[in-house]
Amino acid sequence: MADREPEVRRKLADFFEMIGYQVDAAENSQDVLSKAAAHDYAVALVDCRLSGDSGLEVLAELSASYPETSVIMLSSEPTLEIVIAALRKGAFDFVVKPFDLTELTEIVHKAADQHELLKMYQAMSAQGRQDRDAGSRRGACLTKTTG
Amino acid sequence: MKTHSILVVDDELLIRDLLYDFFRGQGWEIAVAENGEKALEILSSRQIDLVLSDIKMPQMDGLALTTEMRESYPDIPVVLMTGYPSVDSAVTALRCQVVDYITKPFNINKLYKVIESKVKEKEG
Repeated sequence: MADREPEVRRKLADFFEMIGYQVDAAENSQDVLSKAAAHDYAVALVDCRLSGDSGLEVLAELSASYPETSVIMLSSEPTLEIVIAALRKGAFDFVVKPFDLTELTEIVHKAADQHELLKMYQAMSAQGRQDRDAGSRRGACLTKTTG
Repeated sequence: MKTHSILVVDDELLIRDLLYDFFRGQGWEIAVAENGEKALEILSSRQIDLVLSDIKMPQMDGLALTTEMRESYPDIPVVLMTGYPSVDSAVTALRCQVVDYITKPFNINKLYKVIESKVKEKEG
């Protein structure tokens, strides 16, 4: 949860912890990226205006390096250019401040669900590859034995 | 080399004709529809690599078409274009998981680069 306003960080962190999420808060882009490197986050809430790099640059970095993390962008002054940039950089959603907390909660739940699905898909793909490799090795052994 | 296919959805005949001629000239297979309902009929009958749709159309608009496609054709990328861009429609487009949002009037060569890159991304 990244926002340069301490009050917003505290309120959102308290709220999402209260409903069962583990929350880390960051106030600037460097802080977000160092935390993302150390944790497997399901969801990132990122304000478009962070100190350091802009929130959109953080979104681009998160999308490229941690594609399984669903990134929700927040903005109090959205422009068409900002929303299109967020769309192109792979944001999961874009929420305009002031937001309705119920609506934001639903979006965060959906984003967390998508993260779960992606992780399951990755695990199944990895298992499929392992099974194919094992099958190839068995085939090779059989060929060697019978040949 | 594989021939790519695109479905262009726009209620303006001029835009459909322009894009039809352009993509044919690039060696693409192209289908055209004047609204979302016609587009869904085409999608049910032939293989399409990407849908390029206008937003504002009678009967079924581009956002409704994209919403329907996310259910029925989740793997087909959608690029939306509009002559009436707004923050609200761009946010809705983002939520519909479109791969790009293009404002009219567009530069056709830039548009082609976007479409080509999205089809290549889909092919992996």
